[in-house]
Amino acid sequence: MKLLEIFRFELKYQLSRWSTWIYFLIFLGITTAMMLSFVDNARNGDYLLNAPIVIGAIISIASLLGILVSAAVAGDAATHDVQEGVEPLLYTSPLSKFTYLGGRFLGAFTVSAMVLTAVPIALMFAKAIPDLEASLFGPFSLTSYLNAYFLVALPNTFIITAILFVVALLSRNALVSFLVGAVLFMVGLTSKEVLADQMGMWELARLLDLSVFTIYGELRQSLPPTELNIRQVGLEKWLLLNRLLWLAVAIGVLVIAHLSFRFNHYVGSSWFKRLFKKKTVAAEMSVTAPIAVPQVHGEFTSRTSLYQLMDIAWRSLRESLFSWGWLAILGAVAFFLFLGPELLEGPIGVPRFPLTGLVINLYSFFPIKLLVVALISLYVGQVVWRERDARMGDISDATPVPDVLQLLGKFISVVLMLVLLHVAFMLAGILIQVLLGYSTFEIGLYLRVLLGLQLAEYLLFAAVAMAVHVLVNQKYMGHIIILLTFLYTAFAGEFGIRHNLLIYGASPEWSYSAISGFGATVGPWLLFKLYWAGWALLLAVLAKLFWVRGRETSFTERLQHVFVRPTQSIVLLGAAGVLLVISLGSFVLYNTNVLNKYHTPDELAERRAEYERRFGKYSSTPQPNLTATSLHVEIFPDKQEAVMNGVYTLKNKTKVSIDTVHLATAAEVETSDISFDRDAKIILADKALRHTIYTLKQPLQPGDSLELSFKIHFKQNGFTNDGIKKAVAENGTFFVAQDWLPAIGYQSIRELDNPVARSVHNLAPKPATPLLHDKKARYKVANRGRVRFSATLGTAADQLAIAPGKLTRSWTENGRRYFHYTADSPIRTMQPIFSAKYAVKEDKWKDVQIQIYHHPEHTQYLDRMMQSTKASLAYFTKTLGPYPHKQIKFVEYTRSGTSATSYPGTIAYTEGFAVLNPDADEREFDLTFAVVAHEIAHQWWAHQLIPASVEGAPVLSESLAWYSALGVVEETYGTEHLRRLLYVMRSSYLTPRSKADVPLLRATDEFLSYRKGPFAMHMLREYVGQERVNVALRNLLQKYSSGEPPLATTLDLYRELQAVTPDSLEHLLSDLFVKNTYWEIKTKEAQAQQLSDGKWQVTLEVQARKVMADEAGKVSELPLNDAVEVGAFLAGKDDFTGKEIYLQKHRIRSGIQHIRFVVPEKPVFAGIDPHNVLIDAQPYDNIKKTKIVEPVKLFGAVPVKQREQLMQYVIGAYL
Amino acid sequence: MGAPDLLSIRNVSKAYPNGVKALQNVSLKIPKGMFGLLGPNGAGKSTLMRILATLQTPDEGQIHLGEIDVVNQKDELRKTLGYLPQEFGVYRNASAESLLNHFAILKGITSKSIRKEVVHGLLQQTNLWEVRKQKLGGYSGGMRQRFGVAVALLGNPKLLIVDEPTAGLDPAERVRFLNLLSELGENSVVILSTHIVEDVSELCTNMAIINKGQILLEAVPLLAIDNLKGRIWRRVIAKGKLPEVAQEHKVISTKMLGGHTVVHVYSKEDPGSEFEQVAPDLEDVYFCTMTGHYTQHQYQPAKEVVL
Repeated sequence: MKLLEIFRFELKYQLSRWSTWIYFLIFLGITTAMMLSFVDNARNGDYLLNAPIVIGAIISIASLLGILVSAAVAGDAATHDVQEGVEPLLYTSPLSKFTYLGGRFLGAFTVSAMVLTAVPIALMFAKAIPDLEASLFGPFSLTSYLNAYFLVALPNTFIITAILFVVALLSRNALVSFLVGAVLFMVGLTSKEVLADQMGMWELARLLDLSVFTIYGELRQSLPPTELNIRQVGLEKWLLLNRLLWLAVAIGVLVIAHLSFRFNHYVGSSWFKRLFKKKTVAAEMSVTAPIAVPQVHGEFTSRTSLYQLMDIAWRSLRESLFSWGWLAILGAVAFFLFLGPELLEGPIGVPRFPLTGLVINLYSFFPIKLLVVALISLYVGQVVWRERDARMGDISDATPVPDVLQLLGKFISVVLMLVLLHVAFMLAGILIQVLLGYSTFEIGLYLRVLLGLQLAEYLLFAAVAMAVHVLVNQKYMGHIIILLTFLYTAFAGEFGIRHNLLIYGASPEWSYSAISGFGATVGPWLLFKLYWAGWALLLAVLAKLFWVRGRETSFTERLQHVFVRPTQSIVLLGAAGVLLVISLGSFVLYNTNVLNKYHTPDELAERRAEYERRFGKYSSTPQPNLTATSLHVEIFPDKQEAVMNGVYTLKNKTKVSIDTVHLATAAEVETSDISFDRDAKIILADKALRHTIYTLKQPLQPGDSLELSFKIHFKQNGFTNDGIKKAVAENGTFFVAQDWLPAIGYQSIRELDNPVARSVHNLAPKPATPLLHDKKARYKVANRGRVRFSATLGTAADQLAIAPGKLTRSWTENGRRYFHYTADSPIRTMQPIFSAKYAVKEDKWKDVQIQIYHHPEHTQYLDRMMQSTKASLAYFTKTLGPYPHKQIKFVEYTRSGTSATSYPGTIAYTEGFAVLNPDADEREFDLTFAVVAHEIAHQWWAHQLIPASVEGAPVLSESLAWYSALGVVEETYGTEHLRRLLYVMRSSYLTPRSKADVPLLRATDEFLSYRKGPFAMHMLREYVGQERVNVALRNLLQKYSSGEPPLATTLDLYRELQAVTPDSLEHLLSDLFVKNTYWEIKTKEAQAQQLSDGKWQVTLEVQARKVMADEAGKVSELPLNDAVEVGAFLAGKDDFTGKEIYLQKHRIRSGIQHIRFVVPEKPVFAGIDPHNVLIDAQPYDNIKKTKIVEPVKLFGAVPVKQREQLMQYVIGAYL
Repeated sequence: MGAPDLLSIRNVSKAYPNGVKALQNVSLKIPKGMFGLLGPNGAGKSTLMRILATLQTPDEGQIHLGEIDVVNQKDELRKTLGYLPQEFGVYRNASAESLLNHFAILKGITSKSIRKEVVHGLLQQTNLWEVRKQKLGGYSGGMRQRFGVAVALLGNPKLLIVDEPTAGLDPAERVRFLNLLSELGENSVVILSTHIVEDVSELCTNMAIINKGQILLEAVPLLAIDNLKGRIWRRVIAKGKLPEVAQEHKVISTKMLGGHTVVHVYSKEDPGSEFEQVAPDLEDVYFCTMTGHYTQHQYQPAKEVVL
């Protein structure tokens, strides 16, 4: 059969190319590397390395990388006949289109599919890697590999090959298949990140993600531990839908190709070609001008070189820009515009003001970087191959242009292209700002980031791309190697390579903040980049030596010339590179590893283990408690230095006398001048582990106190592998004193808590968090007690320095400003210190002074913050009890992120929080207001009631703080606003997550403490009543806010709640807190029918059940017999529910049931639990649009009552 | 290293990695003027051309153009080199004028006004003036070839290498092109590689015939033709009779003419009455050389002694 013959020919042709086999080897390597990156997680016990979803995930990513192979193979298969000029022979042979195209396509597909078999093969033999212990693997299951290969890799290869084959075929240009391949790769690699992670559209991501990585990622997040390692991913719903969708696309594309392909000499007839049509012209040899060769000779001076250089650069740029570059730049900008607004949003999608300082961070978003890198690879490939692709190589190579000018000229064109791209990016950024209604553009900042920092990053990479394309001298192979290089630089950490001197182009990151500017972050960044510029120079030398010129292009032939070619300047350039590498390399190394300590994660773990082994025996040695801290802090912003003199008052609160004091000092600072107010002697000083043991000559008797003084010195000592320490900045100093102060006693917080790491280091197993019922833990008050606090802060004359407490005095001395703060009541030992050029907004609530220390330019939120503060203080003092201080301070600081943290009487919030813009939120809720209320609530829940360090602790702090904040929101903005806030908070249900979890009483993670906890409290309130719940909370606070042990746990909360809950609802309390319960309730159908009296009868078909999941994920059904709200609504705007016309509790049981009720108006929506009071992970299926049923008119004459009965009968039968 | 404007090739050999010996011990002395390099396909012409054009490096041997060591001073040679390869493409999106301008800069013509003059001059010489603003992608094969000529002539090269230049040209273009070459040949070394004998016979003052990597003949065309006078005989035979004739005579070429076969044989004596004597032309020189009936040694012993 002819098809078979064409296929066989294509296959043989492709298999005879050495690149095919290199691809295979590369995939063996990539697969192994990818698997090695999972080893850390496997060692942590997250999953087994051969779990079906791990295999699936690796194969799905590998199949994306396969795009690069398919692009090369399919592009080649579709065009090599034209390229080699044999198409006239083939097209005139009696082949059918189907045979010809089918054979070529199947050949390309088969080769790509064969290359990808390297992936399962490498995975199957991974067990043989010597470093990997057998315990990382489960039993071998061939099904896992077959499923992943045949459901993911093979279909993907088919789809990708089809698309790329067709675009190359129709454009007759293999480059197009590469361009489209790059787009597919980008889309595939980022669809989970963009659609699912960023936008929360998981269903769409499952359906559209070509790599199907979303499906594996979701299973990884949502499978219970019992199933994680054994669950096979077969052809199930979403996988099937995804595959069918993409296969349909592929087949559609193939059909189009078959229909539009012609066995014709190619003259360019497609719309694309028409767009770029070259006019055919003719110039006959008619005129006979006198024969005369212009008698002009070239001149060769340095001026000529400059001319040649610029001309090569300009020509290369122009050529690429006009052919495809403009499209690529436009595409990149479109991608950026598409992503930008989404990325600019704060938490849970709340808009922020698009300050330039925020926009510039978008440019380092991974998908954008990947896009630019792909562009660089393509562009460099294009310019390096420019002459040869146009078959002008011979002519051009014979021109009197030195290699080095060619190389440099082309590199300059890369620079110009990147400049253009970044200018386009800048315009896109400005466009986003304009679209979001913002108009302070800060062009200077844009330019510094885009044309300074970003460009430098990419130029280093462009140097690699250039060298690779020259050395490899095979375009597609070059692209693949460049991409792999980039992936290596991006993910080196995954393979345990973390030092920035070992990862090409890597450096500590710069950061920008409105308060601090770039601070000192650019310096280390620059030194690392200069070091890499040295390497780039060496790469350039290599590229020069191996520059392809003339017809001797094989690597060995070029290698022979390397030793002939070096000129003096090349040797000098090489020497300069070596000098840069060595000098900057050693300078950087001196900073990162000598001036500062560099520790690998393994070393750090070993250190923690050693600490526990050496000092663990002292964990229950009686130690005095800290009762007062007095600090004198001198901050030197310009030198990024701080000196802190401190005095601790330590009291023996135990019943025995204490003769030894253990002191643990901080890593970041130098601690010196430690002295006790009585004779004490060091008996053990472990400098490396930072633990010192003192004996007191006179033991400290129970009830007695002593004073301990010390000096702390913080200094920026060069920089580390992670850059500079930001604690003390020129403007925007922030640190928590406890991070630097010495701690008393054995620090169990330093212990390794990862179970696997513990067993690796031969430490006895212990729970990650002390168990709820651990009675001893309730008495551990170290780091959790309250102390008297005073501090004197000195800082630069133009800055304000802030610490917790009342400002008792401030003065100027020696050109510096001083502030003295004293806490008006004891405060917890989390005492932040700030210093910056702040503006202050002040107000009062009753006798409490409210101050907001803010960046002078950030002001939009101040009133909102003030309003929330007053409302919160009013509400909390009313419902929970008095506020213990006479002042509350808000201080803006410079860390990234959008968060706020509650310290004693002091709330620190990031710049990102300051630029939240809730007014622009279409969902109409005020996040700033709610978060401020939440942080103030912490002044009760965390600062008054200090939870014991056991499971459930975050429920007492976070869940209760949120619950209380919800009360403020409702009181200020009303119930509707509260519902909108809860609606947004429920969007975290959309993130896939295993139901397997501990009950709330033992909660430790964020979802339980920040979401399920508040939801549970809110539900309880809806059933038990707000006042009763508040009584319980008030009682809890009264009993446990002394700060003295035993500290509170969730069991105490539970007891108080129990006390206020009527017996009839006791089971509900247990469902919410003791069991991990979910209601699964939905409205299957809602019907409405008008009754004779004009009212409407609503009939709901409801499906309900209540389930409980244990920690392992075993789900069991609980009996359901709860009263649940049922409601009906009129239409609101935007297809949302409008006015409520019915809301009553109905008793609901497990299974399908019908609920009927009568409403006065025609209902548009109706459903069960319309306000999502229940804990239901699928909250969006509760309400349905009502179907209007025509009244039965058969028996018009039947008396009204009869008719109604009959109708009910009819409906009943119908349902 | 030698006389100015003299290209001397000494003992140049080149073998390819696959074992093919493309050039074996080739030596030639090429003076100013047009030099024709004749040979069948695969004879090594293009390899020699590319070596002269600095695109390949010989395994052995030296090449000098005047003072310039072609093998080791490639950049130096390129400053005065014009090269028209056998096969080449163009940047489809560029216009003839802008691309020619680009090459003018690459060839060191930096003065804007002079460059403009040269570019315009060459566009007119190659008759591309009317279409100078058009994209090269739309050019016909002959127009592209003319464009290549223009590029090669830029900078008034001392050494011009043209590899199979007339293949794609129509007769008018070919004439003009050859005229251009000979004009340049007044001051430069112009090497024309071809398998079309007329190209050489019409223009070249010197020539060489190359086959299987070896120079079979280095000669002045007119003298070579002279040497064959009286030795070329012609006969028209029926198609089937060729093997018979070939057995008896030294057949140097056959041609089809009106359904019959015209045979040229080489013979010092009259080969018989069926044959008629013809005046030899360069084609006969070529075929005699290729068939081994005409060698350097045979006709030029005296010359070597004289030298």
